Amino acid sequence: MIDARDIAKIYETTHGPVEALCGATLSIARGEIISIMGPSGSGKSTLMAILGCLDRPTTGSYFFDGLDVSRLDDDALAEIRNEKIGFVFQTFNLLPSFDALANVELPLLYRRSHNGVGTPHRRARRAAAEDALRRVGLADRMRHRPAQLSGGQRQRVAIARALVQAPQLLLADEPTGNLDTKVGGEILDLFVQLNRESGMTLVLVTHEADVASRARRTVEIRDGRVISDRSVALPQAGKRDDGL
Amino acid sequence: MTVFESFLLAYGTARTNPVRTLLTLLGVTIGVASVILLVGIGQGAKNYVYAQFSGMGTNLLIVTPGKVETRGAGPSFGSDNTHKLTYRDATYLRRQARNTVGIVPVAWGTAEVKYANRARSVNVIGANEEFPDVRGIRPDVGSFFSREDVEAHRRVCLLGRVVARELFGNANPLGKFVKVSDRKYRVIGLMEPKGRSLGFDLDDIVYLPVLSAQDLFHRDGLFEILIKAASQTEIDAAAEEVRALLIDRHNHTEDFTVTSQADMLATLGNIMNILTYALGGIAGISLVVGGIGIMNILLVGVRERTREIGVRKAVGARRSDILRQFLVEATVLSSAGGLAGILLGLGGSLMIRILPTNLPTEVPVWSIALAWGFSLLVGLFFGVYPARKASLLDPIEALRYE
Repeated sequence: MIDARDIAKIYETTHGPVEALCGATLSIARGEIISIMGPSGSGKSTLMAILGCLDRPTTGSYFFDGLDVSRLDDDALAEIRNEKIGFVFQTFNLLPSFDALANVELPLLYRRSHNGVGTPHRRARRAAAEDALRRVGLADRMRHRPAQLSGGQRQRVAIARALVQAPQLLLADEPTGNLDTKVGGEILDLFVQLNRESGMTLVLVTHEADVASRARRTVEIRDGRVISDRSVALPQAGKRDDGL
Repeated sequence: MTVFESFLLAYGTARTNPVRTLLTLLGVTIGVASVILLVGIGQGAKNYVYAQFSGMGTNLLIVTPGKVETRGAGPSFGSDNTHKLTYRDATYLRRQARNTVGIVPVAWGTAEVKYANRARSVNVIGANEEFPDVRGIRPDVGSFFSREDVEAHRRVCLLGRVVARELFGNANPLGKFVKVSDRKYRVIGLMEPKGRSLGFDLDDIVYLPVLSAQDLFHRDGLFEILIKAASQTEIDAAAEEVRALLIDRHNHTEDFTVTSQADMLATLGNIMNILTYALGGIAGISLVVGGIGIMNILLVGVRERTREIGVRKAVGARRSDILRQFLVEATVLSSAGGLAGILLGLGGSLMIRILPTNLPTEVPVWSIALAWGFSLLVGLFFGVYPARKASLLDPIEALRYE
């Protein structure tokens, strides 16, 4: 589903150009769970922005779901993000003045139907948001604002916001970085469970080895390049997944 | 997202910081209120002037010496190079004109009037016996001078209420003699109180028979001739007739001006309208200032909500979505402020009407529509820059923004 070849990204700064990625190549199949590891400054955030269609590579080619992303304009990227990619961030990035339900509903406000009928109806959006919150176990917290929720609950709201889009790709950037080990573990469990239920591709960006170990495949980035790409042998992985 | 939902969203945002929203609205509110209020006051002044002039009688013609090409409300002063209007002109008109019911030669000047040890500088009007009927101001004590009094140059006078009070206090002035510039005149009546009109105190006047007044001022020219047409429909005919008769008498030259009440009202109406527009325009400036306030707050909002904008973009909002969100917000702010301003302006003009200012303020519907429409435009105009700024934010940087 993801086919990134020789991707480079150069940022123009006041101190001259900075090369965040220089020739990263990566392909990810549908339904995979993959973790991207690397120290800060390695380029993994940039890689995630490009994989998530928030940005275009300076050079190289990136095909997402058969589409050549480097040739698409901003509006087309927005549409791909809206329909095919869900994000989960370290800092949750919920809107503080909206309750959980409204936060989860947000992506559907920007959905455009392809038959030109317009955005989903208010009631349909609400129902989808409620459903997503139920799936992450927050049926009784729908009317709470982020400030009234714990860190783990906030991250669950953020996951529900991604789920409501029914995305093909879920991109999680340090999703457990602001959570303690126990809650973080529960969030990771939820990710794996969702991957199993709906078959959505899951990309975990992290610098913690035990988070990365939840994935069958781990890609390591350093200095803007992929330096290793290891997959755990399937039988062993199967055993591990069962143990989750 | 439907347009209605955009409005709901903007309303929700406005409610999250009510004090700031209120302060933002205040600029537009004051702008709209002042437009409505000042236009109301302008219209009120126009109504007031109209009422004062209509009080003089609506079928009135005024002949003034000198030819005035642009029709103004005022008589021409010191036009020495033209023929004078004389008492005999007035007598001639009275004899010849068919479409008029009253003709009053008017002399005018200022003089000192004395009684016992009290003195007062007043306006002196010389008129004839038809003045009360033509001008609509009558004596309520004693009687006006007669035709005989006028023709015989009799030294009699009538006093306005203010003059009578200042010179006589509570004493009865009837039959007493007052001195006007060292000549003695017997008081034969008091004029009914009329109050002020256009800043001129109608009660601070001494009335003399016109020929006696001309004697007093050593002048044989008249200030004006007041003519009452038989009816409102005959005003034009009367004006034409008077003009023709006088041209005939003045060696076929038109060295005088005939002005009708309607002409004066029209001229005054134009002046008052220009005044109204000027007032409204000045108030409009404050509306623009209010718009700048909205822009300021929206710019702060864009900065504060950078992360929100980043999140919205990450989940699929396009540039146009963000642009619309901020434009709707600007419009909601300015139109809400405008509505409050309409209420404030209407309330203010009602207050002025109730207060003893005597100004019959009137708020025309066009001023409400204009002020509100303009406030919407101002909101849109000053919303464009912040909205564009928001829509152009890079989602990655916006998400990282602390």
